[in-house]
Amino acid sequence: MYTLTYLLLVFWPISYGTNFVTENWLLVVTWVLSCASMSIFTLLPAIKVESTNLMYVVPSHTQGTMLIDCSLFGGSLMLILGVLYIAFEKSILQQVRPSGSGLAAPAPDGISRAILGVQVGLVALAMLVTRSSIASLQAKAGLPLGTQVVGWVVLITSLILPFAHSLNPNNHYLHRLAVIFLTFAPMFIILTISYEGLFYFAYSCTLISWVRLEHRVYRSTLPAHVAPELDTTTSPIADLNPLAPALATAASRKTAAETHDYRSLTLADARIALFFLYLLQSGFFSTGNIASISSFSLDAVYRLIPIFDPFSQGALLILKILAPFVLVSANLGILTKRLKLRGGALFAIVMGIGDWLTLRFFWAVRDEGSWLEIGESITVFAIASFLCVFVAALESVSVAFTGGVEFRDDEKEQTASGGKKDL
Amino acid sequence: MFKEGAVPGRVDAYMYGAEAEDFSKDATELDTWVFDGVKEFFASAATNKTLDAELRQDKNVFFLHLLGLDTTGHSYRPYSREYLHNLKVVDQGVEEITGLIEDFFGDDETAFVFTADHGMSDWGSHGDGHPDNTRTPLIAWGSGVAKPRTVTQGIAPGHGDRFSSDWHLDHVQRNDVAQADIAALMTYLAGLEFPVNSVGEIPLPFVSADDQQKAEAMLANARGILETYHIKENQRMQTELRYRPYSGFGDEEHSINHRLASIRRTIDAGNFQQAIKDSDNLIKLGLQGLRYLQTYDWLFLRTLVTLGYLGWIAFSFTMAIDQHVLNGSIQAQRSIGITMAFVAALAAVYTLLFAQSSPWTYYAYAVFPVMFWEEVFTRRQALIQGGKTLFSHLGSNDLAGFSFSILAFFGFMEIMVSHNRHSSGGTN
Repeated sequence: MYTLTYLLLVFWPISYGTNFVTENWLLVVTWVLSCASMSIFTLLPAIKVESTNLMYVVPSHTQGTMLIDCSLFGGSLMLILGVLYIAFEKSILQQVRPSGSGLAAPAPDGISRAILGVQVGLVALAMLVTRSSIASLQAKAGLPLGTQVVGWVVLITSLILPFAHSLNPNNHYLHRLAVIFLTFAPMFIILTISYEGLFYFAYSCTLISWVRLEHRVYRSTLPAHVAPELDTTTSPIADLNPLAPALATAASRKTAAETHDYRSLTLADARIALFFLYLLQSGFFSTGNIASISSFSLDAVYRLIPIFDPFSQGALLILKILAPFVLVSANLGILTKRLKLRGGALFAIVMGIGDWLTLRFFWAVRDEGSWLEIGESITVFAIASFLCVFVAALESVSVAFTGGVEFRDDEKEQTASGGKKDL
Repeated sequence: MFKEGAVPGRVDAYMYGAEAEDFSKDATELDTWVFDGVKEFFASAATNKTLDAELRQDKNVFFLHLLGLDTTGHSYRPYSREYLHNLKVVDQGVEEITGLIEDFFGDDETAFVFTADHGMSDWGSHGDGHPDNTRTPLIAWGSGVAKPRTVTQGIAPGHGDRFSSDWHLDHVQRNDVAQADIAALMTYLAGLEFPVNSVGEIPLPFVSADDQQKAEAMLANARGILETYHIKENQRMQTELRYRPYSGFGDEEHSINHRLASIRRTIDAGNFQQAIKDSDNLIKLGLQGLRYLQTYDWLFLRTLVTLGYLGWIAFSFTMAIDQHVLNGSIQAQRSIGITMAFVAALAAVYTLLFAQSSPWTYYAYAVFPVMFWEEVFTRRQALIQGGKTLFSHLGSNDLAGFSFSILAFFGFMEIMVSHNRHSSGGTN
């Protein structure tokens, strides 16, 4: 079903008219590609345990190779992305900055670049370590101490290092997102069982193109300052957008509320909340991460803790599950700021919609059928209720991760930016 | 663990320690431990007069729990050499124990029931509804058990679903039972009374008896289940203010006593097939009645929880509108009257819960709807104002488009719900 929704989402930008698409074609292409790749994950087998377990029972050479290939492929994509970002950081950040901005934007300097470089290096190191630990575990040769130690060092450094950026803050939101992306990349590589690395990559791409698209949508439906409000419906297809008038309201209210620099919520913001909730849920339930409780496998954590230990191994698994949440909430936090909403505005709507879903799951709880069916119906309800409360926690996470983020591109952003540069 | 909850002295148990269930060791030891234990046990009766006398009493049940196959299946998967070896060990053990029992008693008065509580998937897991996990053997033989019905050509009845096609037993009639029926079967075979809370029905195809015996057994079976119903109904009647009885046993004509008496008359008249059919219907009705009692206050509870969640939703949106559309310009309007009304509502629900001696969790469920709806009610002005602001630009022309996006919105959410309901499980 997530496949269907992702495929529907592919067509979402088109509903804003051909002008919108042609103006932002690179961004739209990124969006379409990342949604399409996200839709594939839900088609992959939910139970990664199956393949890996088979691999353990029948040590098949091909399966082992496939696993390494899969995790390394995801890692390579992350690595390429990181390297590209460092290489083109200057141009990316400048391109989306208004020309002649007098504000002292800290230029991508030595320290910042060095830290980014180390982060990317950690991604590469994580790939190497994972490769060797998978190989030695599959050969039933045990986990070499060296590999284990390096694995831990990579994991911990990658999580701590981003704080070093505060030494030389670069508050551009793309920079911030790149840093967050690179923070969790090594962990995903080390803890990957099969294609989660690819999932992490596709998920990040989807999120960032979503944030940028929402912003473009917001701007495209805003009337120019001089134009009358009716101008929002100039595009023939924009007529089909029932929320355009509401956005016009937003615009008029925006001028009214100019004094405190925040705009009010509109009906269109409900869509943003729904998308967020959808991305949050698909980060949790879609097969890229965990599909069902039964798909938990300890195979990945053996690379760091080879001896069975439910608490610490469970903690590692939870860490891996939470990473996409941090990512998605940071993105929503940035979006909130970018759309000039007061902090927490979108989260309030998310909570309301989340409650509706919880209520639907509540009525779907069953007491008949197999253990798994009963268990699943209860678990989904419990997780959905938990997510409602969790959203509140995520909000504070997003505040922490997006503190001080600045946008210098609101007025004169070049429409030509997009594609890889957007990432 | 099989002793817990039983009448003291009725169950004797002999078991190995938990440390024996080492998943890394050869688990066939768990099975051979049981078989060896049984052999020693019966052997010791030769020198132990008391034990010998106890063993030779009627209505004894010997329960052998063979855990080895389960452990081996989990550790090595069902197609492993270890598992196939374990199967052989158990087959041989069953053969030896059957012989030992027949030699010891020498009267052909023992019935044997061999079964399992679950199957296993190819990768050694169980718990979902896949036939690999749920189909289990039930093989009964010995005293009082019917011989298998076979056909000389074609496929015998009961194999319609083809789940058993790879068993190579297509010529033997398959008689499926519910797991609870096995206890009823054992009860009948040993001539015991039906256990408390048993919801099983004697699987008659397994029973070798004439129609009269079967009719009497089924009537006893029905009486046992209806007794459970009777007790549960009394418990419910004591706590409910206004108890609504189960419609199946509603009036005099359909009352339990009337139905039982009617079956008794049918048996006395020699109409055994009809009596069996009537008892069967009565058992099913009794089970439905038990279900009715079990879910008696679900509607009330679900209403309470639903109101709570709807209140939470309304509260979230009210706060969003209040803070982020109207920028907090409207104050919550609380008056003594409103507060009193909501407090009174909560007090009314609590009184009802108290009168029905409800568990403490129910009280907690009742807090949320009252709390959230009170907050929403006092901010109703914000909702009205906010609604005006939000919808003010929606002319009649936009109505179709707006309805479409509302539909799309809920459709999207339904997709999310149905995904998690239908495809997140069921594949393990």
